[in-house]
Amino acid sequence: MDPVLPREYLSDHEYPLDPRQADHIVEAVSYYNTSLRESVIWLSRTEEKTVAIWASMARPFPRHTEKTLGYLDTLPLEILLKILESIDLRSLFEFRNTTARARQVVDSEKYRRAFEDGYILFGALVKMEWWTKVSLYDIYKALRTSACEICGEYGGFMSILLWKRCCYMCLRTAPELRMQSVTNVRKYYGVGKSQTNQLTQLQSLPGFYGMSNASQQPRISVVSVNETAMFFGRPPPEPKMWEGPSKCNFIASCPLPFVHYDASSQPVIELGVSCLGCYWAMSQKDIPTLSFKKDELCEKIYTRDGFLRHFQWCKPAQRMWKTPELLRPFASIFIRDRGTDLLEDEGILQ
Amino acid sequence: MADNSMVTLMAADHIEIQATLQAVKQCATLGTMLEVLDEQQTLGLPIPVLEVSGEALKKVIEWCEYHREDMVVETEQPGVAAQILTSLPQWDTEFFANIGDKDLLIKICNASNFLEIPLLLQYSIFVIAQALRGKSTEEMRAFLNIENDLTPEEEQKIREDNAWAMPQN
Repeated sequence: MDPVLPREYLSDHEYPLDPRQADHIVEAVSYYNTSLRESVIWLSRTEEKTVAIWASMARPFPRHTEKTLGYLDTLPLEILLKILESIDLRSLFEFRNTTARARQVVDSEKYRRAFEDGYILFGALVKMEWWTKVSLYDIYKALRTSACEICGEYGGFMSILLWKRCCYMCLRTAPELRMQSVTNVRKYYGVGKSQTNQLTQLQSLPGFYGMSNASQQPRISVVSVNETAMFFGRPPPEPKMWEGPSKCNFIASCPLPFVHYDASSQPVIELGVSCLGCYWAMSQKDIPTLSFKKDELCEKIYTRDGFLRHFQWCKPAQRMWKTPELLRPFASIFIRDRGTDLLEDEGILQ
Repeated sequence: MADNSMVTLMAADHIEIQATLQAVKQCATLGTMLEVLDEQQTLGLPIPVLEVSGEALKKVIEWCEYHREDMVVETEQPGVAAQILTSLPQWDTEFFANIGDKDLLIKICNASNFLEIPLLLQYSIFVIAQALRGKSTEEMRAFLNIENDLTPEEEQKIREDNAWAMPQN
């Protein structure tokens, strides 16, 4: 797929990429956009008190266990795992507590990975009591799919209520992903609790949401605008409900890494990177920016390969790569925002 | 041999079960076996399925007879994760509802794995998962006939986990 770039930034020809330089290029001219990540549900591994318990979640009791799973004992492990993958996370957790053997079966490498890689999603699901609606299979599938379900570009986020992977721009603007508070639905549709109770509602977590990091401490209920319109059989009566930015979109979503496997079957966890070249060019007065909206370019994130494809056509990024002094002012961004450092801080990479 | 001709299967407990050839072909294991065997020599002889109990085989064949017109589809392709079902067709829902006995359900699941009947395997996995959904640890122990083998220290650890995971308790 050809990278989408504003014409002002498009290079005249495809940059001849030397595969040996790829890692250095990614390291030098991409950065990790934390502000996007922090505008949705954000659970920090280092700050949360619950960290220790999370870490122990995927560890079996260290002892020999006999087969004591009652009726399930005769099933081959492979079938048993399929059953456990398809039950909801809450039931899985309950099953895990039945015996030491159950704990051992559940705490497989695969489970540990899903838990580690998708820890924000996992934590959000539990805290929002949404884990009764999602199975381990759903989580695996979400982690291993990279594309935004709306536009097909790389999607680094998850709209939890709708269970759709999405990119930041679609999360912010796509009508399909739109959320609203139940309070607004009642007000604008002029309906009561008994009716809104029939909609799928997600309870927010206290936090700061949206690009303005607006505080939302009391828990509120949010619903999908699409589902609401279908339920009432008419479009939202107030443009406010479905136009313009809605904080509720951010309240109902979280960052989601993309997990795939390299040639030696080692898992690769991608949190998505942004282009420092584009970021830099937007601050340069001599580079015109007429054909696009700055916000939209800022919120674009890529997989490693996607970024390299972008780099091959991104004139500002290429310029930075060839002119190291241009990179110097961004040292602080590197320290704060570089994905690998962050991963290390969070204990994902050891 | 025509598809509607009858064959005899022999289960573990020497129970003989009659089935149409078409139904038997739903079981990939048996289908392959029949292709390899010399028809003339084996005609009329019961096909041994000694790994499966008569009770379970009877149910499996009942399912295969109903589904005998179906295309045998692989529910799983290499590299593609299996779809998780959200519901079963009506006939199959009733089929499983009539089983009732957990032990038999597990046996059917095992038999469909052994006989390679992808759809029946997928359905039985769904039904077992469905039965576990929404049950508490205690309810699961009772339902599955599991004996609690946890030490007091392990129980304590689980209570700590619960404090995190289930703040409402």
